[in-house]
Parts: sequence; C-alpha cells; structure tokens
Amino acid sequence: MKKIAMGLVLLIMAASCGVGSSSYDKSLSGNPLVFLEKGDLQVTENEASGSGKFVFLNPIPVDDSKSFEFSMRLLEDSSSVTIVTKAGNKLENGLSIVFSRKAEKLEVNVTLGTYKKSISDKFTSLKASDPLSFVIDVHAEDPAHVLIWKKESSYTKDNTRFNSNEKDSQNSKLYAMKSKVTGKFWGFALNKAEISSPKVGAPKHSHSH
Amino acid sequence: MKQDTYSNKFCATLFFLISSVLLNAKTEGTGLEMSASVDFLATVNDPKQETFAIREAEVSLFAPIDHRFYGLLSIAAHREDGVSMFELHEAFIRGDKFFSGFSAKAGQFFLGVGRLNQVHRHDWPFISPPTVFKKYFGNEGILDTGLEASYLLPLPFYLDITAGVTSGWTFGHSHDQGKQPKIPTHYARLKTFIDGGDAFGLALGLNYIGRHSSEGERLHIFGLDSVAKGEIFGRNYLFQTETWMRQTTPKSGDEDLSIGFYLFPQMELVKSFKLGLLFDYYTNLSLVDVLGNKTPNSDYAFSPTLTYDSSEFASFKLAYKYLRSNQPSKVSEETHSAEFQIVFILGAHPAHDF
Amino acid sequence: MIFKNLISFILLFFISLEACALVKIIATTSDLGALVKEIGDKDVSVTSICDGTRDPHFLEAKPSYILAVSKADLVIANGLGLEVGWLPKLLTAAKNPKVMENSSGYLEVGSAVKVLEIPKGPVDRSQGDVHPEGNPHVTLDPIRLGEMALVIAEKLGKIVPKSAEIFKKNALAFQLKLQEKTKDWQKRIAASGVKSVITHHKTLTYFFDRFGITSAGMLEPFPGVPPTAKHILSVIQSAAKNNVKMILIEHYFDSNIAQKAASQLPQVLVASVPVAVSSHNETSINLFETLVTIIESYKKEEKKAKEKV
Repeated sequence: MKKIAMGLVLLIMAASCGVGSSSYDKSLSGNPLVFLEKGDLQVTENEASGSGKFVFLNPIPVDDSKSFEFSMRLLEDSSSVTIVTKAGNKLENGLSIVFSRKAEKLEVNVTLGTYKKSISDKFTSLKASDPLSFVIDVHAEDPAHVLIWKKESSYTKDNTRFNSNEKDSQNSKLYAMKSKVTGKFWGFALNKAEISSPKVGAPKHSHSH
Repeated sequence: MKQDTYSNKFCATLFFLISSVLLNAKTEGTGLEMSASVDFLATVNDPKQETFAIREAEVSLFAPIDHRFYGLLSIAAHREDGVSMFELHEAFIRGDKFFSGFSAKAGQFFLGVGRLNQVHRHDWPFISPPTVFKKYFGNEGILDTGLEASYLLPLPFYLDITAGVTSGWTFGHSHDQGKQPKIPTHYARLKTFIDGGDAFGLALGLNYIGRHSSEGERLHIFGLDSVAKGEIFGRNYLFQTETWMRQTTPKSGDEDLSIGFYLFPQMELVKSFKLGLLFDYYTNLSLVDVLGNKTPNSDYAFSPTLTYDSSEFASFKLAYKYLRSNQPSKVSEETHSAEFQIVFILGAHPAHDF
Repeated sequence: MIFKNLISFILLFFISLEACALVKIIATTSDLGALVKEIGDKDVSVTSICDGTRDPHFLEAKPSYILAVSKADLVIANGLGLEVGWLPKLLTAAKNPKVMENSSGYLEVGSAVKVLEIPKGPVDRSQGDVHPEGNPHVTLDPIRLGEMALVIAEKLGKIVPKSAEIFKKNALAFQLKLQEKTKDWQKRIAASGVKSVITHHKTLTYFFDRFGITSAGMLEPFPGVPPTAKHILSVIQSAAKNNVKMILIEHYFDSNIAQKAASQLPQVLVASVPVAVSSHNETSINLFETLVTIIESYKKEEKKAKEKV
C-alpha cells in the first residue's frame, strides 16, 4: 500500500512538472520570467526591485516590431535599469538601453552590436530621482529603428525623446543603427532599481506604406 | 532600396511630364505612353492610419526605345509617417528579340517571383497584403536593382523559367542604403499552365529567393503560387493562392523557420460586381521559449471583399477584416476593421497577366 | 546501284520534311482563322485565339495562347483596336521575334479595307470604349472579307513563295464566291422588309451597311457599357416611333434584356445571332447565310401573326 501511494505521489509530481512543459521562476504583470542572475531581486505581481537580471519566458518573433513599456525608479546614485530587447535567451546580442543615475542626471546609452551611443542629451529635462515611465518602439527593419517616448505622451514621430532615424539639417541620420535585431527575447537587468508594469505590444508608430 | 525624399526631384519630374504632354508633337512617333494610377484608402477602427488618404499615386511611362528594346519608368508617391514620399518604383530596359522564347531586363523592378509581387498593388484583387506577404515582402513587394531573364521552353506545354540576380544591399522596405551582401539576392521561378477551356485555366508557379547578408545571415524563401480563372454558370470566378516558407539562419544563433499562405476565392455576382473572401494564415515554426520549449503561435485573418468595377479603369472595393493573433507573450488579440478603396487609372494601362 | 538508291532515299527524306513543314498561323479571331483556311488550304495550319463564342474585345491573355504565339510563323490580327486589351500582352510574353508588331510575321488586316465610323473630333473614355481608328468589326462584310483575303494571300505568298500563286488563286476564287453570294443575300434581305434593326453593340455595322439596313440604336448606352434601365426605355420609345422590326443580340451577350424590351413592342422580333465563325457556322459563307436567314425569318413570323389574327 505504501509503495503504491509513493508511486502515485511520484506520478503526480511527474505530471505536475510536465513532460515538455515550461518551468518559470516568477510572473511579472502576467509575463512569466526566468532569473539569469537572481541577486537580491524581489518580484511581485507588478513590480521587480533590487539588483539582478531576468528574461521573460515567451519569445517574440524576430521579424516582429514591438513596443516595450515600463515604469522605473532609480533608487540611489549609480542605480541603473537596463532593458534588453530582441536578444538571445541569455539576453546576449540584443538591443539594450541603459538608464542610469548620476546624482540627479539621467544618463541613457543605447547598444546594438558594434553600435554604442550616448543619448543622454535627449533626456536632460528629466530628473533621475523621479519615477519615470517610457515606451520604446523597436522596429525589426534593416537596420533596426528605435523610438523612445515618455509614457502618456502622444506617440508620434515628432514627439519622440529619441528616434534613431532622426535627421539633422544636412539630412544625415546621426543615430542610425548599423544592424538589424536578431533575437527573440527581452528582459531587464536592475542595479538598485525598481521597475513596474512592463508590457510588450504592437508598435506605437508604424510606417504606413 | 534607398529611399530619399524626392520632393524637389519629383516636382522637376512632374514638370518634365507635363511638358512632354503639352509638347505632344515631340512625342509623336515615339510610341510613348503614359499611365497614372491612384489608390485611395479609408480605414475604420485602425487608429494608426488616417481615415481617408491616398495610399499611393503612380505615374508610368513606357515605350519602345528602339527596334530591339523597350523601356519603362515609374514613379510613385505614398504617405509615410504623415509625409508624402516620392520614390522611383521601376526603371528598366527590356529586350525580347534576342532569340525565340527569351527575354531579359535590367534596371530596377519588382522581382519576378510569386503572384502579388509581380502585380502593382492597385491591381490586386483585394485591398491589403496578406500577413505572410507583408512579413516576407513588405507592404507592396520586393523591388531591387539587377538583371532578370525569362525563357519560354520549346515544349508542347507551357513552361516558363525566370531567374534573376539583384544587388541585395537591402531586402524589403528600407530607408537605408544597406550594405553589400556576401551573396546578392538571387531568385528563380518556374511557371506552367493547365488550360481547361472556358471553364477552367490554372497557372502554377514554383519560386525560390535566396540571399546571404553582410552580417552573415542566410535567407531562403520558397513559394508556390497558383491562379485559377474561368466561368461557371455564366459567372466569372477567380481563385488565387500563395504559400510561402522562409528560413533564416543567422551567423550565430538559431535558425528561424516560418510559413504562411493566403486563399482568395472570388465570384462574379452580377455584371461589374464581385464578392471574394481573403483568408490568410501565418505561423512561426521555430518559435521556442527561453527554456527551449516550442511555443504555438499563429496569425489568421478573414476579409470578405466586395468589388465594383465601373470599367477596367475604375474600381471600388469594400472589405471587412477580422484578424486574430495568437502569440505566446500575451492573450489572443482580435482586431476588427473596415477598408474602402478607390482605384482609378488615367491614360493607357498595360494588359494584365492571366 | 545501292549508292544511287541511298541518294534517292536521302533526297526523298528531305523533300518530305519540307512538305511536313506547315506554316503555323495564329489568327486572333475565328473569322480570320476561317479566312486563312480558305486561302492557305494544305500549306498552313491555323489556330484561332478567339474561337467565336466570346466577345473578342475582352479575352484573358492565357499562357496557352502565349505558347501558341511563341511557335507561330505568322500572326494575323484584325487590328483597329479590337484586340488591344490582350494581343500586345500575348506578343510580348511569347517572346517570338518573328511575329512581334512591325515584324514580317505580323499582319493587321482591318486597316487594309475602308473603315466606317471613324470618330470625328476628340475621343476619350467618357464616350465609353470607343475605337479611335473606327469600327473594328470589318469581317462582317462579305465584300471587305474578300478584299482581306487578297491581303492575306499576298502575305502568305511572301512566307511560302512556292505557293504564292496557289494562295492568290484561292483568295480570288473565294472573293468571287463572296461577291456572287452577296448579290443573292441582298435580294433576300430586301424582300424580307426589314429596314431598321436594334442591336446590343455596334458589331453589325458593316453587315448593315452592305445590306441596306439602318441601325436603329444600341441597347448599350455607350460602347462597352452594360445597358441601363433609363437607356432601354429610350430605346423602346424610339423603336415604337420608328417602326423597328427586329432586335438582334450578338450571341455572346445576354438576350434577356432584349426579350424584356420586346415584350413592350409586339411587332418586334428578338433573335440571338452569331457574329463570328464558330463550330456552328464553320465558314464565313455559312455565317452570312445564317444571318440572312434569321433576318428573313421576320417575314415568316409576321405572316404567322397575321394568320392568327
């Protein structure tokens, strides 16, 4: 009898683990995630805080353009939030945008492959100590096209904080990306920071053609 | 394909065109023909698009160049990001008198693959591109610069082979000059036809497109297209379908494999009125989650489309679109929208393929 | 001896090959195809693209037609804009340099005869599908058909010089036959009492011109535009006023509209008429005979109606 009961328990455990079923660590705003570096990250229903790195479980097709939105707080000096999109399953080789706090100044850097640009001058009107919310469009074009808005603003091309296709007076693109995005996953790396309500959805801006 | 804002250049071009028309005597005897097409589109319940706007306006000039060659030049204007953009669509020289069965063209043109890719968007039997077409070819098709040749094989049945090589610096719609690929875009198409008399005619095409990008990404696209047309009970019908599969292998990373198709049956209701139903489906076969588990996903859409043809030069279409997207990262999304399109053509217009 | 036999055999072999090499002709319409058969006899093989059952203005440029044109030695077209919607596409896609427009293997016969209804003044699409070069339905006049036969014979003679005299003889014989038959048909139509006729489209213009019939109007408001209720009403009123006796509907149009119109005109006879050679009327002479017989039938129907009364 005991052996049968043990066998049943083992069977139930095996079934609940699921052959081929996903096993994620936590869920944030309804999106299951997997920790890459647990650190001291605390994840609740809508908020992740502390220091660590995680990737969302579900993939986004490589050729899909998406918008990523989230709110954040940089809790102390030299805090940072890095959002990595369209990356590999360890968040490698993706498009990453680092928001970091240097006293009250917000520094923002964009990286994709060999492309590394500081775009801090686009965010000088924002205080790094304030709660901040952003919407980031990543268009899977060749090369990639990135637009950043403050949340709740009007999501037009002219209202961006940053547009990688922005042209100067000589019609040159100062911030043009050099390559396309190649990955399917997105996630965050936090350093003494907090993010909430991360969401992925349809791009806010499309090139109607 | 590089796209600049051609506004000044377009004005100059327009001036040239108008001058050519006004100075009619200068074009007599040259065989020069001009055609303009305008495509209006109104969309309801889609907040990203303007309610009613010109989707595209295109002007084409075509003529024999001399006793050996024929030329075509087309310029299109369309709205992008709320601004009218002018771009060169096609500009090519074609020869079909080299030897029997053979023709070749050089310049910029829509690649000779598939069905929709070879037909200008305003001539499509429905309004908006199916999902698989949009993903692989963009909103209106792949345009590039290169060489293409066709040969109608000397057989007792119809078999035509087309092959081409184009620069491949970009692939699909791009606002950038692009980069020199390791292997340029290359493609081939085999087309045949089964003639069933008035009741039935079926054209079939088998397609391949390849490219090896500067970053080392290898692209292979395979496709099967078919068009059936005929008459049943005195009514004309059309059945058009394309199935495409795309395999991309990055230099480092996982291979991506996806497939999609559309079906479009259409029947003439009464003279000048036709009713069709566009069904399209798309899925990514290699989508896996972070832990390596396969994740089912699909996009499918139904779009009944009513067409009224005032003549072969003016057409009105009304379509309702239901799109359902089942993606792993969120709950299924449904969108409902309605589209109304007006297309009219001024001047001459080349005859359509079967 | 064996050597001589071998030489004879080889010579005979090549002569027979030459005999098998029929000239492949594509005719855009069945009328032209039938005409070529009268002239070319055994030296030609002819295929008609439009087989006589369909409206030649609107044809799909099917790949099977493209294949036929690709193998042709000569394309004979009506011209005058009749095939403008599909023939250029066939010629381009066939990639046969021999038969492209302006080449020696391309012949348009329509402009070789006197053309009627050449528009005066500017022409544009607001007037419907107007042919700026004139009415293209030239093959529906037996006399003009005879003239076209000579033009075709001359062209065939250039392609097959050894048979030029035969082609010319056949064409002249056919032309003479048409001329003789025309006299008989003219008498029969005059005796029928039919003087004015309504049609769907202006297809029978040349036939009416030859046989002294007036066109009393068309059911289509503009060429190529389907009939509208308003226009049909005006046609009915005009028919009643002008004592029109017949409505002849070209066989590839729907005769229901004409039948409804005729229900309000008791004196009018509606008939569906062939306007091209087809499997039912395999030769042009049979086609004209059928047309004349249908027009003559008005007299019989009128007599029947009177007897009933």
